[in-house]
Amino acid sequence: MTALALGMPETSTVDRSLLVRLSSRLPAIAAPCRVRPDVDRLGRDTMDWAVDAGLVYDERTATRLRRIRPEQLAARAFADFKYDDALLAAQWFAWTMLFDDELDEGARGRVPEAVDAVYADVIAALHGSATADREVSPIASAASGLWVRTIPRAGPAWPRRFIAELLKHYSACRGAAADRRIGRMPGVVEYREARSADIGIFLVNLIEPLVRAEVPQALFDSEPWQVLRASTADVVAWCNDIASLPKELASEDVHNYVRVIAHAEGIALPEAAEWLFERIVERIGDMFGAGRALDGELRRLGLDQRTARGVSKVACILLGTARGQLEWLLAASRYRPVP
Amino acid sequence: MTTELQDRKLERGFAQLDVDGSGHIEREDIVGLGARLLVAFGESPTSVKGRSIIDRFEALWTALAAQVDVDDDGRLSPEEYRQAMTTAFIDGPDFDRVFRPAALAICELCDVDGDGVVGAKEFHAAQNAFGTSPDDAAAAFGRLDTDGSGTLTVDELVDATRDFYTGDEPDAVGNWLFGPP
Repeated sequence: MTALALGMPETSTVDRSLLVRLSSRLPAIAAPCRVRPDVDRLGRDTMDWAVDAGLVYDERTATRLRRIRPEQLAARAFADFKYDDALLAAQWFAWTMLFDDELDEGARGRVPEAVDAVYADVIAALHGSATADREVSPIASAASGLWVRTIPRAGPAWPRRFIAELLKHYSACRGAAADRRIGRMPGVVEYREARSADIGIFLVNLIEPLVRAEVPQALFDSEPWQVLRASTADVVAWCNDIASLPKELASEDVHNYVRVIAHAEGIALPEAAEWLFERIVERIGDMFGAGRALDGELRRLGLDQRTARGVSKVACILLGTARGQLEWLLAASRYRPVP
Repeated sequence: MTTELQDRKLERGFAQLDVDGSGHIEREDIVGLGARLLVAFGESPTSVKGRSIIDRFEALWTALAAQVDVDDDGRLSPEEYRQAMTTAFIDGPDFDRVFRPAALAICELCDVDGDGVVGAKEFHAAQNAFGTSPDDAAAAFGRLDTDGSGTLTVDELVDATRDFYTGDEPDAVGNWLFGPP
């Protein structure tokens, strides 16, 4: 079953349409993102890192990383920060997407026990408990390397929060593998909850150490901050699902919000995609509503200037994600058919 | 050459940026102030207004860093900051090209309804982002509101910014931009 056969436009048209329609509808994302002038260098250095880490080892894996274009995302999110900050971000983005591919694609994506094994390696590597008598996979070894470079930048609460989000990602990925094994279509509510976890919301946690700020627990637990995080993850996931629909149709993967809605409501895919577009508009509204509530929260908590400016940097990067990831979808070819 | 009044105001400006007390200011400190202002007004960094703030703050940093960076470490010491501000904006030609647009962008951010004036609430929100105490902010507003209208025009605020950051007149009302001079 292909997208074109179902009357859906080709992927690059979808990506451009998403950006144009959303940015013309929402003044909050009307302006283009700033992009680092050294974005190409960021791409080359990220590729070199991936080769050294064993994540890229032949033309197929090099092409996969080139199609991901993690540097395009990092160059926008960290446009005004130090090169090393943006580079670490690009490497984490690359790792996350290669990790996702390892969990979702091929035979492994249909075997929950295989997901267990991949995750066990990664968690052991982050805890530094990989044993000498067992070979560590490149994906786990790379995670360990990134972790070691990230921890010194982070506050004391950060590692626990990051691991907690990573475990939610694990649970969601395992559930998806179990569904694929039996060809089960998830329900709407179930899908929505799992998707916000498997999009990699743990990446949202990375912003703090990358800009050397820490969100105090009281602010982290506050409604505006929780809504900002959750809505950011949803917006990224749902735009991703619209962009990746052709790919998931071709691989007969039902884990796509457009497909889930079409099935639940008994409507055609184009209609379901349009429904999801309107939900994205609403959810971006939630993001910026939470952003507008933040000042009151910072003042209520009496945060000192250093902390307030640090969390403001994190908040602005989160808020910039709505536009940033749309521009990345257009720049990358991750979800387009391989020529 | 700066006067003692100008030096005091420059020290205040430095302290507004050096919130981590490192004794230096870096590009990220200006980014932090810009981010705090955007959050203060609930403005998106990818709206036209938000992008203007970010772009103009970047231009401010570029202008300062271009003047001096004796240590070439990407950081400005208090003396380097004073020299850069003096060369670029006090004695130099860049106030209208670089500083004024940044000041205007902040004032337009405060002018939330776009009617050309800023009320006390918006003024206090901006001052809070700069780290001004509520008492100093109230004193500043009182002094700047010379006609007692309860509002400040955007033009008045931009003029006050010029007086504060570059002026050497002891009686200039702009010296009160952040409270008692």
